[in-house]
Amino acid sequence: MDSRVIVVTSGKGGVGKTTLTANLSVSLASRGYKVAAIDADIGLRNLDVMLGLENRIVYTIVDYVEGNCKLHQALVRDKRVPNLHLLPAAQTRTKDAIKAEEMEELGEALKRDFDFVLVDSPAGIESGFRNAAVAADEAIVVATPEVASVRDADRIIGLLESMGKSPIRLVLNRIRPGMVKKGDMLDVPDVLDILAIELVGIIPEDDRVLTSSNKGEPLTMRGHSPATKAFTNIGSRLIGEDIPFMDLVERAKGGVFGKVKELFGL
Amino acid sequence: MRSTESREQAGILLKGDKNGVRVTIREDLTLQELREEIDLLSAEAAQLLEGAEAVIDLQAREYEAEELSLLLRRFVWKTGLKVIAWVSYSVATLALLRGAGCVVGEPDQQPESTGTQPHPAAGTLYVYRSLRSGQRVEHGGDVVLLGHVNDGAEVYAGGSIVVWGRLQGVAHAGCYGNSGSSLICGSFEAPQARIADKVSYLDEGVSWWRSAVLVSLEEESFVVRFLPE
Repeated sequence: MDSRVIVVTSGKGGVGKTTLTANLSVSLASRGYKVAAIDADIGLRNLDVMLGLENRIVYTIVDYVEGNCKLHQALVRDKRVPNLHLLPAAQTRTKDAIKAEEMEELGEALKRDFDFVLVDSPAGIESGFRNAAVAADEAIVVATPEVASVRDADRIIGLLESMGKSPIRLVLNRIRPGMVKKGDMLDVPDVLDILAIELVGIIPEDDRVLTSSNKGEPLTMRGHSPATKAFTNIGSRLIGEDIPFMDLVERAKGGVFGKVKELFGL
Repeated sequence: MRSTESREQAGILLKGDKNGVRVTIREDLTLQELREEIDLLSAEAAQLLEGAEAVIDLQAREYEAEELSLLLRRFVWKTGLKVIAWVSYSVATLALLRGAGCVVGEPDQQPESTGTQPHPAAGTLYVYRSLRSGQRVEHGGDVVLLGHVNDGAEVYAGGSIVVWGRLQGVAHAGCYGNSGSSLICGSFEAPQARIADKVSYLDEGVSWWRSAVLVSLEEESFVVRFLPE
């Protein structure tokens, strides 16, 4: 298959870019694809913690760009998911440490060895975002169903369109079906109506996302919660499988029996 | 070599109009494609463009200073084009162009810098797209936008504004003081109505929220009329 470089971005911070990158990387690697996850959030690295690889970092993306190491030395291989590699960010540098051309070259270099290159973008629309996006062909925009997040996603989509990225897909994170049902939260069609891009995933709010991040074990590594299924489904849709979207609102109506089913991932 | 006649499919489109040549640079070109298109056009249309007056339409792409410099060095100065105006929907790009002293906006349709009324020659600007957050249209005359104006997008017109779809962003009709301007939209969902020097603050509580309306000023007060669905 042709190698695909996908930037995961949002504009607004704290909406789940890194969590999605980590889970999607594990999901795709578990299917046998060679995956490189790049942490492009230089100065505020997090992806290593979410993947549980923070103790194994020797070199970073900045070391590679500055010529202090070879690319294979900077890539951290995940022993639990053999096809997964992390290119960590430098915590002690700033976003200006890498230029757009250097990111473009890095993307091309990784394309030679990997089926998927997922770039975890920093929040914002400045140089950090642009550097993360420049190497990618495709984009996934993460938004939560809040007005501020949707507006920022709209801004980012405009920028990605004007950078020639295609396709640009949307993941809606932290949906709370009970609130949607009561009309207290934007529903999926409301957001799609505004953003007008292809939806690739809906992820329900799930406390297990937080605990899995703290443990450095993305949900897609093990577990059967609705959020795990949602992350796995995004991976499936990215490789072209036609997977129907979960009806989270109906699921919320399931009562006690529904909760038990949910507990067992049914 | 691609002929100039086949430029309709190209990343940079050339079209003759009353102002000379309109050069539209597609907003979705990657940096590499932009470089290639500029070099190709400079090579193949140099004779056609030399000394020609041109409007360069950058669409909504948010150009960085280096990219604009590339455009000037490898296209404008290389071909000998005389740029009479630059058009962009990107606030950041407009700021860079203005900072460099470039004329921005559709030519002959911008208000005089000292006047308060729109330029008498200002025509109607048709915008065939939706505006996303961060994008802006500025025009001395009327603006007809066939799409939505999303939250965070802005339309400033010396005359009236028509938004075919949903208005969630800022629309300022008569922004140079023309109180006879009006605001028409398919679905009003904006936090403010602005006409000339008047602003009305609104929310979902108004009866005409999400309705097709015409908003105008009469005796310095906002008047809203429902439009037939």
